[in-house]
This record gives sequence, C-alpha cells and structure tokens, in this order.
Amino acid sequence: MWSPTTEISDVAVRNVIYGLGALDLRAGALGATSLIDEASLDPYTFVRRAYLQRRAYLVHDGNVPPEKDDE
Amino acid sequence: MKNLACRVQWLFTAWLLVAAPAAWAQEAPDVLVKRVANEVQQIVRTDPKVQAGDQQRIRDVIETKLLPNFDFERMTALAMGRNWRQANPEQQKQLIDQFRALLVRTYSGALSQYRDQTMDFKPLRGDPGTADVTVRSEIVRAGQVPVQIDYGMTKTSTGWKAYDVIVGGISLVTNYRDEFNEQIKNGGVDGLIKTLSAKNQGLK
Repeated sequence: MWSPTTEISDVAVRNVIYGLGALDLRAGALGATSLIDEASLDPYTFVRRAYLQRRAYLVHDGNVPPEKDDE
Repeated sequence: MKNLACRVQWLFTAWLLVAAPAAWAQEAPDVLVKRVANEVQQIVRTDPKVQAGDQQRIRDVIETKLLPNFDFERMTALAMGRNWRQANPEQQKQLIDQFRALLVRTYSGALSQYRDQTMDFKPLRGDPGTADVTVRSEIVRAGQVPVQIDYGMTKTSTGWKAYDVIVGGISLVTNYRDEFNEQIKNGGVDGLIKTLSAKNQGLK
C-alpha cells in the first residue's frame, strides 16, 4: 500500500514513522477500550456479544429475526 | 324538576371522573423520546455548569430529566432472563439498584458527546394501541455514516418508559444478558450482585 513514507529509503527512519503511525492508531482506540472496561463485567463476553449483534444487524440489513430463547 | 336536574348533575360529575383518565392520553412514546432527548441536549449545550464538568449538576440532570423515563425493573428482568425467577425479591431489588448504578455511571459520560450531533426521529411504525413499541432515531453526523439509536418502550401506568437502548443493532439488554448469565454460572445470583456492587464501588 503506497504512502509517502514508502518513498523514504532510510530503513530505520521509515520504520520509526510506521511505528508512530501504529501507536497513534492504538492510542486513538483507547477511548473505546476504557468504555468497554467500565461497562462490562467480562470484556471478552461483552465485546463478543456486541460483535455478534452488530454482524447480525448488518447481515439482515437492520431486520434481525427475533432469536428463540434456547436455554 | 329540581330532582331531575340534580340527578343529571351527579351523572355528569360521575361520568367526568370515569372518563377523564381515559380522555387524558399519555404522551406518545416517540413524542416523549424526542422531547426528552431535545431537552437534555439543550441543557448540555447551554448549561454552564454542565459544560464546566460539574459532576453534581450532571448527576442532577440525569436523575431528574433522564432516569424517570426508564423502567429499570423491566430492563433488569429482561437482562436476567430465566434467572430472574431464581432471585428472591431482596436480590431482585439489589440487582435493579446495582444495574441502574452501573448504567448511569458508565454511560452518563456519553451525554456530552452528543452535544453537537443532530438527532433525527423516525415516524412510529406498527400498531399504536400496543403496550410495547420501538422508537427509532438516527444520529446524523457530518461526513460520517449515521448511527441508528432505537429505544424499546413499554407502556406503564405512569407513562411510556424505555427498557432497552439499541445502538446500531446492539441491544443493551441482550449484551448484559450474556454478562449476567456468565456471572450467575460462576457464582449464582449472589455472585452477580457481588460483582456488580464491587464494580460500582470501584468506579466511584
């Protein structure tokens, strides 16, 4: 994937810039993770269920058929 | 003649007493959600204390403007699913209190995020005579995909109340159902209550 960074021939310098980009991306996502930590009793379970719901919503274009209580 | 007039008058009064509550219609659920959302947004936009981050003021706004429009008992019962009947009344009360505290504490911070957003409310679908409706809305953001926010509403004797909030297809009640189930599997209803109250105290 081309970006101006790929044009930098000095490998060390280029890697530092890639690293900063990754750090920035991760830092940007911190708000979401702290909300999950505050809201959830188990972050894994919480995110999993949210993901499954979101996926069903997208797959069914907002019209998700009601789930039968299977317990 | 006077006797007849007297009777008619009593009849009229009696009719008023019976008909008045029926004639006074509850505020429709979509009207209520729109009104409350706009009122709260207005406060967030204009109240200097809220903007300054005055926690006491923010809590007051939430307690007086938002919370009375939620049915936390129904919300908790739904999140508990079959486990609700396994809990005794004292446990049920604790669950409702702790769950409400968790939700208020966690999501009240999100209020200020919607200060500059535009909320677009959709017309109510379905049979208006039912006691359970979904009020649909959208958060419109410049240059971004809109976010669907739906409210599951139930009709109570004190007006329509929200028992679920669904953001982009993610239902609060459904999400917490898994959380509660897991805690109960590990430590029973008491274990869940312990986890909730510990979390609420930790966040204090």
